[in-house]
Amino acid sequence: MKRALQLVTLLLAGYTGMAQDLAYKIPEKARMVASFKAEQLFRLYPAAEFDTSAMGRELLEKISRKGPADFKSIEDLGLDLKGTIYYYSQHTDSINYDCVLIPIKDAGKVEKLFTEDERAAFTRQNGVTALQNAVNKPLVAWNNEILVVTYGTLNKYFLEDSTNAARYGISKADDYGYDNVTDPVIYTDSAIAIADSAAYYADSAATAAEPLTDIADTATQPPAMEEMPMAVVDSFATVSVEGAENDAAPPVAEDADVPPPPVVESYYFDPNKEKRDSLTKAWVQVYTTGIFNKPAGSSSILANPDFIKRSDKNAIASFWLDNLNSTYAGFLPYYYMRYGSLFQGYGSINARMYMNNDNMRITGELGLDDAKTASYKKIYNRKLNKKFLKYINSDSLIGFMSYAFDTKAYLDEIPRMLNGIYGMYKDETEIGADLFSLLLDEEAVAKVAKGDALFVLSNVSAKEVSYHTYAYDENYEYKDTVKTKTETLPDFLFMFSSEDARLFVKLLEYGIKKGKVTFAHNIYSITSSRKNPFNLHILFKDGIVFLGTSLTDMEQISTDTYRGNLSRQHEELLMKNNMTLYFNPNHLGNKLFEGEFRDLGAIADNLKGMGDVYIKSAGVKDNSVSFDLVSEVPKDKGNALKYFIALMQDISKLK
Amino acid sequence: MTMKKISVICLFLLSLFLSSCFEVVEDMKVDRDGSGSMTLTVNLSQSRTKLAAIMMMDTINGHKVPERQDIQQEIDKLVTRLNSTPGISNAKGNIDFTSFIAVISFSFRDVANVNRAISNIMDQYKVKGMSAANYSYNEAEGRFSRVYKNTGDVREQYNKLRDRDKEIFSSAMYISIFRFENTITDYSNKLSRVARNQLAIMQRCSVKDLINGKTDISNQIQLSK
Repeated sequence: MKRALQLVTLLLAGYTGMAQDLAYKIPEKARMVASFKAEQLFRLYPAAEFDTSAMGRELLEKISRKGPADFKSIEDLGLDLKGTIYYYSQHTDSINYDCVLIPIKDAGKVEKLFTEDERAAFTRQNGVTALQNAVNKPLVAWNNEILVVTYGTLNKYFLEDSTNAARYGISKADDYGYDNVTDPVIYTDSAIAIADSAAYYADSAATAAEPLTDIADTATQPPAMEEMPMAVVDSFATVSVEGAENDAAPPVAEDADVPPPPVVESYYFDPNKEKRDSLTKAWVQVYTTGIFNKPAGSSSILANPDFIKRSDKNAIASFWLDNLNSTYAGFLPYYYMRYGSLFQGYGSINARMYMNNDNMRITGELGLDDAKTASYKKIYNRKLNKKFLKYINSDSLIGFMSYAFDTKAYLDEIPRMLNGIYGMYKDETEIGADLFSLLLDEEAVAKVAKGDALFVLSNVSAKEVSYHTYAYDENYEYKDTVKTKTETLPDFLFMFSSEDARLFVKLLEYGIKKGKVTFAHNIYSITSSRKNPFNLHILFKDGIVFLGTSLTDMEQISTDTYRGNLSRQHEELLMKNNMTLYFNPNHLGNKLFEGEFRDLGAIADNLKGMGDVYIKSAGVKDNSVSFDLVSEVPKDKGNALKYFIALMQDISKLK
Repeated sequence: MTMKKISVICLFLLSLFLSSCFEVVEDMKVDRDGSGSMTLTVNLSQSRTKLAAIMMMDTINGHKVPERQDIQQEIDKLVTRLNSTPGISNAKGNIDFTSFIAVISFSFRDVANVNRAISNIMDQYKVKGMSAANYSYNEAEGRFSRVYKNTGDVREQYNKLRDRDKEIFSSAMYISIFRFENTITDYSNKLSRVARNQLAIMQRCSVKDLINGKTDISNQIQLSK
């Protein structure tokens, strides 16, 4: 129930609407953007219906308990009903901002969401009401149109630079417990950052707006905020933190009236931490002011062609990450980047969620540069072996997973793909890659495993297993006895193409010599042991290596008497994609219920009530690898949103 | 798709599908002079398929799965600790990773020494509260007693477990056997049963009932002189 409420709360945030979409408030250089379209969500689950549902009532009661108002409907929360809520993240070299933008319909109602104590702490300025951000808490601010939640995280590597640290009065460069870093790369970058920030201050002095609170008046501007020139305070001063040397401080207005230092929290034992928190708090306030003052038509994420290309107005929710490589780099200090980047060549990641009466679909892409695209195209240039399809029974299978890539192409491409990843060790990597190619006969390896494989979870069945226990006589002397019991074990069949199975045969023949493997009717068998809980059977036939748990299936495959029954849906899924994962919860539920899980009927019932789930990827297209996740909605469940909320409620009851 | 990925999927499925079950057997032999021997057996054989699967995984239900050698090392440490406990000797430990049966045995000079030994075992495995069991033997009066008091600590720890972890205890059994050289003439715990030769007494109960304090395993046993 808690999870379901969390989802609803999230969705509620999107239950808003306003004349103007808030995307223009998102800076052009946002690293990550997520959005939820409330109008579509509540089309699937109407507000009136939600208000009277068990979950809706519980949520409203919970909110009512917190504040002074008694909420009877989600419409009473003051949020606009037809808009889009956005979350975005912006990284600078000094601070990372995480922001949520929620459109508002009635600011008066929004205020009732807060407790009396919180309301007493409100500050009001220029039509913006703000709840003062305590240390490590987000700043919440709103006007009549938008509610903004801003959370700032100081970049720990920024203040490791002694110049930056001194500038803000932080006395120890190794304050975070990291080693002093003396690499010249860092100083170079930091100097650039300072120059950037100085330029920003010069620019920003042109247009002024009042910050949200007095504290912001005392704050210096964070560097690299060039996108928001309106976010400027009246009079600049360096951060008023005791001990600050201010050598590298940005320009300060001559008539700056520097107020006292920020409030000193009594629990601080570390004065540097206090200074860092003050800095964070002040920057967050200035940044939030900038969001309110940012006009439509100014430079924003809407000018980012990749973001626009990946957006879809029909998506109920969407996620966009600017660049995988730069995001990864953003979490590392400059120093480490000289070693190269693991994700070089990967671009943006994005995903969109759609919900309707039949299914929930998440579709996404991972962007690739031209070199990576060329490599992946070669690697994915393989289809699944069509002969695999004969051994699938769609009527009863629980799931499958398939993969098709070209082993030879993969081995050929490895050296190329490694290039650039290891930065300063580029030469060494190239030599290593050449050696790899020299030692490896790619063609021979590709014959052993061509690169396509299919794993079919065909059944779960009862199997008799032995165990040790004790039999007691009349005098309670006991002896070890072996009994048997029935266990439900999964049956699977794994197949992969191989033109040269001699290596596997040699291994199995060696196993026979050692008494670990038996051979009969062309089938090698390995009985369950400590290391292997399954009885496994191996068969080589028609250029396919079969590995499975069912001897009957293997015998039928061997004698060409196996009768598969593949549905068109499964055939398309397997043959049109390079990777698939399919799961049929209904089939699993039916089988578990018959087995030892009859006491856990609720789990089986839940599984039986679920629709099919599958993930597929058709490889590379338009410089990106795409994927689709589809979860089908059973006929009697209304639509995807209602289905998932009900499902989460059911699952939460199992606990 | 590598073989490793396939086996991880299979193992995960196994750990989902299979139920857990185990039994703990406490077998104590007390001689007339109060010395004797004790064997503690944890038999997880009924869950061996699941355990074999779990042992090949890195984590299960968010818990790290120990390596075989780690488990063996823990047992070796316990044996060393027991052998250095006053009054305890000949401690041995063994675990069979095929059937998943662990056995700890030791000799004691006096029944009272067992209290310290049990306390060491509980410390080793970080079980709090179980040390409330106290064994004593009065040679002159021929009376043996075990006083067990459920302090609630174990129940509290159990209640903190997630449901799927609690499930492990749902069908686990605890069996206690005390053996003597003299015949048993009386005993206080009527949930226990005396052997036909009257030289042993046994009590069976579910581990879950023991944890929840629903079953009392205290017993005052009077022996013939």
